[in-house]
Amino acid sequence: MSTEATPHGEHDPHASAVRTYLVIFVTLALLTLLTVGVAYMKLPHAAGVVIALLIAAAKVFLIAAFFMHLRSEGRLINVSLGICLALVLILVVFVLPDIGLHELEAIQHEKHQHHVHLGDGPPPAEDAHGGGH
Amino acid sequence: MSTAHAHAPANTSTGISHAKLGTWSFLASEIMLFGGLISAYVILRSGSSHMAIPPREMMGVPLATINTFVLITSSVTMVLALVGIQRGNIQQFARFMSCTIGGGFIFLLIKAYEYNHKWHEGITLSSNLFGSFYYTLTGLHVLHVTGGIVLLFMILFAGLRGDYTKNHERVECAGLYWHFVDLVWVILFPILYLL
Repeated sequence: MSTEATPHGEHDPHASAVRTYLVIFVTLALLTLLTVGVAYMKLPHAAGVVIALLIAAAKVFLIAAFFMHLRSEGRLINVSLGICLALVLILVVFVLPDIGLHELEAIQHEKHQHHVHLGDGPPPAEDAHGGGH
Repeated sequence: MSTAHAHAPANTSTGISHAKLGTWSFLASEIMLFGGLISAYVILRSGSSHMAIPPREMMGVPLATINTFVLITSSVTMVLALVGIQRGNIQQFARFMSCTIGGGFIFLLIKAYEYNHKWHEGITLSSNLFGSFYYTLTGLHVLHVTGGIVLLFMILFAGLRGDYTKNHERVECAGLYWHFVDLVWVILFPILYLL
């Protein structure tokens, strides 16, 4: 880390840290504007969700690494938090495939009902199992 | 910048001071608390037919965006207050600490206005699943902001008394908590207001 001279000729070891904080602050502000801007763009829903979550993750990283000084913390704290984060992700990620499967079944069920309503005859065999749950 | 905050290893078995280890352990439990609620919201939002999302106009995105800026600003003033006490500059510490506390109050004021507006728009705790999650998640966050303001007031007064001129670790730990509160809002903002 570089040091800078104060008006009294002393070296201030915090000057570059302050500069870094201000850069992070501006970056966080710009990322906030970007999140809002992207939300108002006519993007496909999935793309909008992915971009918003990526921006949120970037902001979380910047706050944790620089404002909370995780960059300069030891392995014990970083590994503990990593485990914590992994446990939270398990709560979401392990259940989402099940929801995706049910949504797929719901779509297939809807298709099946549509065929019956139009009187097109029975839907293809694989669709017939779709809405069974 | 990292070396400005790198401390000599504390005289403990972990090399980390008790205050800092305790704060990080507390924050880890907070991650699980908010993580559990947020993951429940994400899953129900993806899979429940009872989750009726209000239109964006009703959610008040501009006010929530201002609140995001307020918390981000209060986070940077918090680290600048820490730099102040590390420099031994009580005036800088007090000035930036007051700005941080002020940011917390502005956040709460905007939130109070937002709650009142939403309640009149029909988004209530019992209106639907979204309403329940909205008030639970943001309400828990508001409680954390309120607790943070009380903590920061205590740190400010102790700092003005000169308690932290030699050991400023408590200021750093209070800062860790405040940044965590900011960090939670950074996640809540897009998932509740924008998506």
